[in-house]
Amino acid sequence: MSEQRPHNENDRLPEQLSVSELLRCAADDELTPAQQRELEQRLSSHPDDRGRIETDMSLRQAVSRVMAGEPAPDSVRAGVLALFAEQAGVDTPATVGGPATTQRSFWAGARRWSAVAAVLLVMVSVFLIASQRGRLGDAPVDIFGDAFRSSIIAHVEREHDRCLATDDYLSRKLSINETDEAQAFLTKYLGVDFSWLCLDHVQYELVGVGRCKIPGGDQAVQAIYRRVGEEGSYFSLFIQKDRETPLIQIDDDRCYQVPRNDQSQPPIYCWRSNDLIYYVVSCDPDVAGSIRRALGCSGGEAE
Amino acid sequence: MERSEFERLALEHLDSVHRMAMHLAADPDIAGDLVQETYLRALKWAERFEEKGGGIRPWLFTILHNVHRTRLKRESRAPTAVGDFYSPDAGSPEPGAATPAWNLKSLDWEQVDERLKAAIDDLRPEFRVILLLWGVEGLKYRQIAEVMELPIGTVMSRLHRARQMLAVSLEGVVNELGVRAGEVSSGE
Repeated sequence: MSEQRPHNENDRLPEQLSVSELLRCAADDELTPAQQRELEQRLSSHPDDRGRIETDMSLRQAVSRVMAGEPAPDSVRAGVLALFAEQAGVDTPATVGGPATTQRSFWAGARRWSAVAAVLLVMVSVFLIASQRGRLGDAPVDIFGDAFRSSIIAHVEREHDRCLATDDYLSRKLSINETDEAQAFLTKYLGVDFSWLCLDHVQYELVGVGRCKIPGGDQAVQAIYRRVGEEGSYFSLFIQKDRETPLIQIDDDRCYQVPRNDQSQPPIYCWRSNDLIYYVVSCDPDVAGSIRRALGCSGGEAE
Repeated sequence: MERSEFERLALEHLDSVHRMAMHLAADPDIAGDLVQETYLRALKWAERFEEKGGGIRPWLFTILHNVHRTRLKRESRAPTAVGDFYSPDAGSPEPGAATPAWNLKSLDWEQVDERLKAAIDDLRPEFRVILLLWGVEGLKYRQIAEVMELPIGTVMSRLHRARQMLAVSLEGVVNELGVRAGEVSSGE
């Protein structure tokens, strides 16, 4: 049998089957009525062929049994549920029913309220971003205008806030604390040089680095820095591999600023450089500029 | 279809989608990313979903495979040339090779689960994925063809060869267990 066997149509079973194909298709319940009649004739003259059909059926059952695997981990399920909630903007977890919901520990207890808060955050963000968003200067006004981009910003906001609100969460998530180790990890994980990661020269020290899952699915990391000598002054840096899709319509090397829904919270700066997208959440407007200078970005500071 | 209904249906197949993502990526982190991206795209394209008789699951698999292909393309992992499939070192039988002359029907499958799993893991991805869509997910040939964007004849031939390769791999087990030989009738 040839790999490129010609057929009348690519999406239909061939009308003429060899005996082997006829028997395999019988085992797989793929025969047309005409082929079924052909099979019955064949079996009447070759009764041993029933054994071949049973063999294929046994193999299929065995493949199913040994490769069934485990259910999706709770973390994956929680990620998809959070994605649904973020995308919906107005939906609540209660609208996602069905058997899958019975296994979700994610929605139990305090986490449930965190997720609900995230949904509300998205709703408020969409409204405020729609009325206030835009790069300072001549940026396209629809940056982060759709649900996908809003979900990214909501994720960045939430993860920044969670890390600063909960030491345990921060230490578990951003578990790489040494600059050298973080540079090596980021270089390997994202595939570009991160020798600029040390920001001592602008008075910021690294707190931790770890992976994160920014909506979009590509490799992403989060890092948190602390202002030297100033307790409580932190900023988050998120770096995501560029999806190379039009979903995030920002110009290369231009810095954009996204206001927070709560004006007392630090704004988010965003830019794309060398196939990576950077998000900085910081009250200090110089931080994004410092990192961009370290990266050698053109196009100036966030205006 | 209502969004909530779409989400409910999509979530029912999360285990299947994740299982296939694990087979494709062989890495839990990457598999998680593939699932996340698959459901993101499914949501964005939910309005395009058309029920063709197989439910939402084949459609989710199609998205998953597209996401996976895009990832591979970005990572510049060139697909294996078809010609390599027939390499003597590849351990695969020639297309059209005869079924091994022993009778799988009489095999005690419970005794060979680990060997079978190892044999499946050793299959080239092009064969393994089709075998899993057929054997584990229970998809019809036509649905597999849609998911893999292949002609249905190619699906059939790859599936046949995957089964042949498993049979060859399990031959040693058969010999160890003393399964009776022969009894495969000819007449094609």
